[in-house]
Amino acid sequence: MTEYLYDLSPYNAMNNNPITYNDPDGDIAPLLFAAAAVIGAGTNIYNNWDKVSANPWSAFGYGISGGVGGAVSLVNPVAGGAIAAGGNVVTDVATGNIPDFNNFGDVAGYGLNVALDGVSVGGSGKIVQATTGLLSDLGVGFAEKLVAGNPEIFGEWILTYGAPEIAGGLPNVYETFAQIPTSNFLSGVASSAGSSFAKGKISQNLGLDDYNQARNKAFSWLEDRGWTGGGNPTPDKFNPDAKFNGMKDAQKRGFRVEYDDRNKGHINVYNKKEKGPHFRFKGSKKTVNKILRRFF
Amino acid sequence: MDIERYIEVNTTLGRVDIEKGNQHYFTKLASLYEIGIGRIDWKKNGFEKYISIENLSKENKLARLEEFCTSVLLGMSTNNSVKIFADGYLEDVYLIPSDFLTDFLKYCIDLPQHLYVLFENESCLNYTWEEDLFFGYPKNYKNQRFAITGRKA
Repeated sequence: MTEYLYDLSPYNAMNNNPITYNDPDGDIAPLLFAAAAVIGAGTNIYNNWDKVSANPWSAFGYGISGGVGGAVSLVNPVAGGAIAAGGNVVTDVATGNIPDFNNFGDVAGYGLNVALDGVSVGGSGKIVQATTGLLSDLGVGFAEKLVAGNPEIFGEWILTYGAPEIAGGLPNVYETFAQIPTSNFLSGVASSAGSSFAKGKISQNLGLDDYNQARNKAFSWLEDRGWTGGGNPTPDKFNPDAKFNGMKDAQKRGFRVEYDDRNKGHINVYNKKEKGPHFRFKGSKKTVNKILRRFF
Repeated sequence: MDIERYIEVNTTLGRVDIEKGNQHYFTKLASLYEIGIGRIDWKKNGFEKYISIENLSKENKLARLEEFCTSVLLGMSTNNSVKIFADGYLEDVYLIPSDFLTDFLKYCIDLPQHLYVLFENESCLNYTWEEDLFFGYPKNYKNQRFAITGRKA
C-alpha cells in the first residue's frame, strides 16, 4: 500500500530530495510550512472574498481551512486541497454562506466552486517550494552576505520582530532556496491562479458571487453622472433608527441595495429624478441583509 | 409638465393638500403590514392584486396603471381621500381625492422611489421602484386572497 502513499513523506518539504535539499539545523521546514499556510490562507480568503465581504467573520473559517490546507499541501497537494475544500464547506454552513439550491445545477456549481478552492490552495506548497529558487535567482545570495556581514544591524532588526532564530537559519534557507527549480514556482502559481480564474468564470455563470460586479457597474453608472463616492447612508424609512439601505450625496445622487421576490438582490441607482437600471446580483434576502449590515 | 409644477398647479386648484414630512406614515405602514427589506413584503403579507409594468412602452405603462387603479377603486366610495407618499424623490405626503389618483400617479411613474397610496380603510396600493403594482390589505385582514401559498386565506 505504501506505493500509493509515496507522496506522504517528510521529504516533500525538501522537494522529495533530501540529499540535494537539506535542512540540517531544522530551521527551514517551519518557515516553509508557515509560508505555505500564509499563501493558502490568503488564496482561500481571496477566492471567497465576496462571502467575506458579506460576513467578515467567515474570514476566520476560510483563513484556517486555507492555512491548514496550504501547510499540508507542502507535503501532499491533494490532501491539502481536500482539507481546504472540506473546511470551506464547514465554514459556509456555519456562517450561512451556503447558496440557495434550486436545482441540480446549483448543487454541482457549488461543488465545483469548492473543489476549485481546494485546487487553488493545493498549489500553495508548490509556490513555496519553488519561491526558494526564484528568490535565489533574484539575488538572495547578496542579501545573505549583507545580513551575515552586518549582524549589529540585522540582528537587532530580527530581534525586534521576535524571530532571532531566523538569523542563524538564514544561510541554510538561502542555500536551499538556490537549489529548487523555478519551474515549481510557475506550476504552483498556475495551479492557484488557474483555478481562481476558473472559479470566477463559474461564479459569473451561476451569478452566485457577483455582488461586487453589480456594485461596480452601479458605481460606474453614478460616476458617469458626476458622483464621486461621497454622501451619507440613507435610512430605511420603515426602521430609520436602526437600518440603512444605501447612500446619497448632496446632489441627490445615490444607490440602494434592495431585494424583491421578482428581481432578487439588486442595486437601484438614481440621479435626482432619473431612475437608473437595476444592477442585479444573485443573493437571497439573507445575503442582502448581511450586505446592508456590513456596509451601512 | 414635471411633478413639481403639477403639484403646484393642483395645490392652487385645491385638488392637492400637502402634509410636510412623511415618516409617521411609514411608521403606520410598518405597524399594519409585513415589512421586508425597505419595503412591504407582499409575499409574506398577502395581497389582492398585482401586475408588473416594467419593460412596457410608456404608453402601455400608463394604460395598465389606469386599469389597475380603476380596478382598485371599484367599489370604493368616490369621495374618499387618499394619502400618497414615497421613500425617495417625493418627501411629503399628498392628500388627494381618490378619483384623482390615476392622474397623480401618471406623473410619478418614472421617479426613483417606492410609492405608497394609503386608503381610508387602511388598504394600500404600492408602486415599487421596479415598477410592480401591488394592492392589498393589512397583514391581519382575513380575506386576503393571495398569501404566501397564493391561495385564498
